[in-house]
Amino acid sequence: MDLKQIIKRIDDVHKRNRITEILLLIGTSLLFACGITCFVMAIVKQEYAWGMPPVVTTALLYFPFKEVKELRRKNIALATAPMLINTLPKSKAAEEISKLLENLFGDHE
Amino acid sequence: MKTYLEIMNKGNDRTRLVLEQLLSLLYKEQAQEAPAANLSDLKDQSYLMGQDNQLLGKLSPGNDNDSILNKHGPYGSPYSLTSIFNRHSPYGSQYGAFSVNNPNCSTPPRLFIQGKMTGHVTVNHRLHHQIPTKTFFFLLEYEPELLLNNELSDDPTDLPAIVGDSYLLADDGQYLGKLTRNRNDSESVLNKTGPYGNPYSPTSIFNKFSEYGNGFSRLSPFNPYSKTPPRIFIDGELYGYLTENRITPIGRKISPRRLKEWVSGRF
Repeated sequence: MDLKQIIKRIDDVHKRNRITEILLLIGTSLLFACGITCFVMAIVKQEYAWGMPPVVTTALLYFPFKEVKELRRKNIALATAPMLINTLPKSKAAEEISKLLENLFGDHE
Repeated sequence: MKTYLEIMNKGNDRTRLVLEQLLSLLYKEQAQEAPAANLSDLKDQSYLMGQDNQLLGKLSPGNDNDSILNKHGPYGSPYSLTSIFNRHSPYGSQYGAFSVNNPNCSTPPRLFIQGKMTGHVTVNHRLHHQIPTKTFFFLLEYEPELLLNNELSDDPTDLPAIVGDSYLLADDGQYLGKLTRNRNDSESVLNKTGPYGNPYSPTSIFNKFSEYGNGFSRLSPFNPYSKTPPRIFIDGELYGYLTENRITPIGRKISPRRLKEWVSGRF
């Protein structure tokens, strides 16, 4: 396996991560839209029980946002890696990628 | 807290895998580009050398690229093929031909201190001049000066005392595990899957068929007549004995049946 193949693989993983990120954002938007709809209903119908679902959906937004944040961090790392290889000497690039891995996933177990 | 994707991928994160592959490849290329270790270049230096003449790192400060202590360098990184810390490399794998962790390896790495060969870093007890891997890692982490000054102890079991650990030690010098309430610590006597807490491990006092756990062995804490039961060390100091024998030896005694409760409560 050579460097080109790995960089191609990085591109694939990057694309997959982007797709996952978009799907997560669509899901998050839907969840948010549901919450807003319920909130509007509460005001329009003057039935304040409709106010509860937005609280729940807004609280649930925490999880997709967390996933998106994590994915973006990974995507930045993936986008940076090929650049590091092209611009730095191999030993320095390896050191920087090793630090990237440590920052993203913690110490090696 | 783990994210949903991490749980779904069961630790096989694609990003992680691809970055690890990349890193491993970079280290491999680095090793190929580097000239074969020339002994004259390493004269009077302290270093670890594989028996295939692959340099496995110098005993130098951690910011040196060739240092075994530089965890981002080719000899200290857990992703590098030339690192003894890589559990999948020929020098760190349990099955590696030149590995420090292979108990059957007859060609483990050699440690040179100031140009002189000091011993083989290996878990293979049958080799002469053995420096146990655990001892070597202990010294690297806590007392690198001892290594560099060639002050290796003849008795590797006194190493936990150097770093002030709490542990059990059999009368024949066999380390019997760390006294910690952390059940995930691989060395803990409370870790049921570790070498010192597992009821099937030969070095566990909980193995009823092992020398250190059966009711008749002189080294076992469960033998009520043993005069040489395991010793308990707390913060590197002798605290007492782990034994069912209420009479001898003289000193503080802890019953092995109460050990788990005692460790959980005290540490």
